Amino acid sequence: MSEPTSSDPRDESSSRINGNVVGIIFLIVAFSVSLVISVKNTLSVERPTKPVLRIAHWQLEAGYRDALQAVIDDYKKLHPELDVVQMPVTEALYKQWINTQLISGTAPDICEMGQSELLSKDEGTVRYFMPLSGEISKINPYNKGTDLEKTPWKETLLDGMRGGFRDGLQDYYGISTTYTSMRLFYNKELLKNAVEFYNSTGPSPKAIDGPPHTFGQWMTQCQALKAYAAAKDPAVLPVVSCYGVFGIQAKFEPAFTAALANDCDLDLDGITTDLEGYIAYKRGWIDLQTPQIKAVYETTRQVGDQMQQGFSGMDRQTAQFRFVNGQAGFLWTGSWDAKGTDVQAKSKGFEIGIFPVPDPGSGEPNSQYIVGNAGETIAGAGSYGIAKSSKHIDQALDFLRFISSRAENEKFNAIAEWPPLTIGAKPSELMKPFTPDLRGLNSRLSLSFGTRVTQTANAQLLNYYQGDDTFESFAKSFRDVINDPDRGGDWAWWFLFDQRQSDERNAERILAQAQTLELLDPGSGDQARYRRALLQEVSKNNGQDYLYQFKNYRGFNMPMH
Amino acid sequence: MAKRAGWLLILLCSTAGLARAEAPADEGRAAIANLDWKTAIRYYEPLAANARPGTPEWTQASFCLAVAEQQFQPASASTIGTAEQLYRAIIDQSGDKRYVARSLMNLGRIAELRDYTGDKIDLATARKFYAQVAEKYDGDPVASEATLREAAAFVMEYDAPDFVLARQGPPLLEKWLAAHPNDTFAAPMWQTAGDAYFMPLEDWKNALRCYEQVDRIGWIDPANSGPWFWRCARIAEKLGETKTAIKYYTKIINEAPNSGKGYASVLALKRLGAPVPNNPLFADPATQPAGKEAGHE
Repeated sequence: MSEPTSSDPRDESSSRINGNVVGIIFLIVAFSVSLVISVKNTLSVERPTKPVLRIAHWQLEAGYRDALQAVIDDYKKLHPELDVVQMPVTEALYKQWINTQLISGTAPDICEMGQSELLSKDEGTVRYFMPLSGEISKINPYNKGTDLEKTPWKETLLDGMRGGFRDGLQDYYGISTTYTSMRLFYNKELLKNAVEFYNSTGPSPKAIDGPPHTFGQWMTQCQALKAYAAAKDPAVLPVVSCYGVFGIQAKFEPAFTAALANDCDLDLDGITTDLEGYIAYKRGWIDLQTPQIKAVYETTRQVGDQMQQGFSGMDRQTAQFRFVNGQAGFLWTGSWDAKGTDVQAKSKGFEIGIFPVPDPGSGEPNSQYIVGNAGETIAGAGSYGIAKSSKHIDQALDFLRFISSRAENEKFNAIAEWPPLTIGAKPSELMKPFTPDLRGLNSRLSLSFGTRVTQTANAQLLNYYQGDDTFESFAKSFRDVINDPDRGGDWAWWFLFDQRQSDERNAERILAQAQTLELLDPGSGDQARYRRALLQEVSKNNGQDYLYQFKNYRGFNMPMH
Repeated sequence: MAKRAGWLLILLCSTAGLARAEAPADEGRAAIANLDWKTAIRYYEPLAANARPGTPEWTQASFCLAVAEQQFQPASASTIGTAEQLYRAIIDQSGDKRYVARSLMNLGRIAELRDYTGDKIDLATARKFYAQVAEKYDGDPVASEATLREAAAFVMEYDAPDFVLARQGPPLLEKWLAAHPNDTFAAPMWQTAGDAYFMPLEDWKNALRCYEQVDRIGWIDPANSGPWFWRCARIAEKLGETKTAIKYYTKIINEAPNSGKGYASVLALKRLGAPVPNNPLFADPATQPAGKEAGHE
């Protein structure tokens, strides 16, 4: 019989006490360290040793923070008296976070504009951000020594700072740092292998390796990828994207319909609006069977055929994953994804190429309706504004001058691998294919008019593009919805009228503000800006032109909803 | 000594009180600058109520209160009614013509705009107020603004098919401009006249004539002038005024290259056999099928 094991109770007790003591000591140490760090951080924010310029943004893409930091470091070398910190916030949180900061008067000095209504709607913008029109007409001193040294700051950016302009406020509230454009990325190795395999089967026409010059060549490459998938790797798809095909459709619209659009441009301002398209449709000048319009849909449908079944459900991560893992020949996405895609592709051992969506070439289907290349425009993006609550407004303005100077904008965008916006700033090798080609046509004709028509028609159109429905079925759905008096084109026209009146009423508030401030403090207002805003309001006729046009083109008074 | 100290104390208190009295006006002004009409009402209401009618303080506070009531969101018959009463009181009792003129203008704006659901637009009444300002305050910029508003309120009638009222808008502006050729509102006036001739009057020749005047003076919004240049070019082409068309296509390339019509203008100039300005943005156009967009008839 074994004796029961016994132990010294004092030993057990002492071991327990030791554990508790260690735990308590650990807690005290951890608490003390936390306290010190917390106090230090609080002091550094509340009682900084030198002024701190804070910059908030939501760009967490690869390289962006490094790029901004590089500019900040350069700036701090010139201005050692100032500290500059960036505050990256996830896109999902930015809206709530920045709203709280703005309302509580603790907003960062420089904020990326967008996401939140306070940063994008006029009422919020005018309350929380500095108007910049008085500054942007001055010279940017950081362009000294370049051919831009005598050019007003506004004119040193490719978009003339339109990216930061608010029509309703008739002022500039943001300085853009880049622009974006969309392109097709391709896996050079996969395409080469697919083309070699495909061409070895003796097809006609043969697929070409490298970027295609015509839509037909691109589709043949997709055929090659399909053949390669069937024989070698069923996971391979010709094209992936999380952006669907509507962006590609938009590319085809000017190429096919620019001439037609000019014929429908009733006010001769060079822009054929959706309303003008609707008028043309109701007057019987155009419809879905008009060859140029049908060609847009048919050509886009061919792209849909190269994507996975139900491609509209593909998210950004999946599209990226499939492409960088060699499961897709082409990826349709924007300049913002270039660096991440390039880095990942290289880590997987292949190179990427980038090219714009090509139009049908001579002799290819529907090429007889092509009137020219689609043109692109440059719209500034990554726009930063200065919070009115900033205690360092002059320094914030100076930093924005710095980041938009030619040298720094080039450096910033070279590291971020985004397209530079300052005139003369050279894009990185990776960004060169994203340079907008302005040598093209911009007029386009769209038969979408109003949210209700667009929602219904696009859902049906997507079914057609995904191969789930016929063109005739889409056309019938379109006719049903566009002619529906309660949600179709006539409703959309009324909605435009109603919206115009609301917009005019809001514009009136801006004018009333300016008039009152001028009365209270004569000579304080910007009279040129006032006249601009006044003309803009007057030229919109309080929406009465919509009522007149409706009666003129529809033959009866606009029904009010 | 004690008496002197007493007076000094009263003086100090009065100064402090005056400083405090100015603070709400400053706050109210800041609220207007922020388009925060609710806060503006909070500050100006007591100021207007406590000031003696007709004094500069009363005029200023009443006017600011009226503007805040007029612009308050959501507007209602009540807020607009309050604003109207205040403007009328200023017109009747204030001696400050700047505030009286603007009060008349704002009564016109109330008549012209749909301020709330169910509010009726009354262009005839609006025109009467504008005409009154234009007549009484000639020489002041507010008179030019009133003339522009009056003309626009004629055009907004869109009284098809004869346009008896709408037709009165452009001549009103032209008459004013003949008498005030250097008016600071000349460019927006010519542009408004041009727009009216273009639509609804469909008088393209006169539209182009007015736009040419704007071009001579200088476009008021150069950053947005691209669509007007294009309209001028297209109208000129349709009227057979090729030289003018070339001028505007050229202006698009040089002054509004990013308006979306730059390349189309290059094609148009080539089609018209005119020299194409050298703009690197549109270099190497040889591959494009010229003439299919611009001027396609």
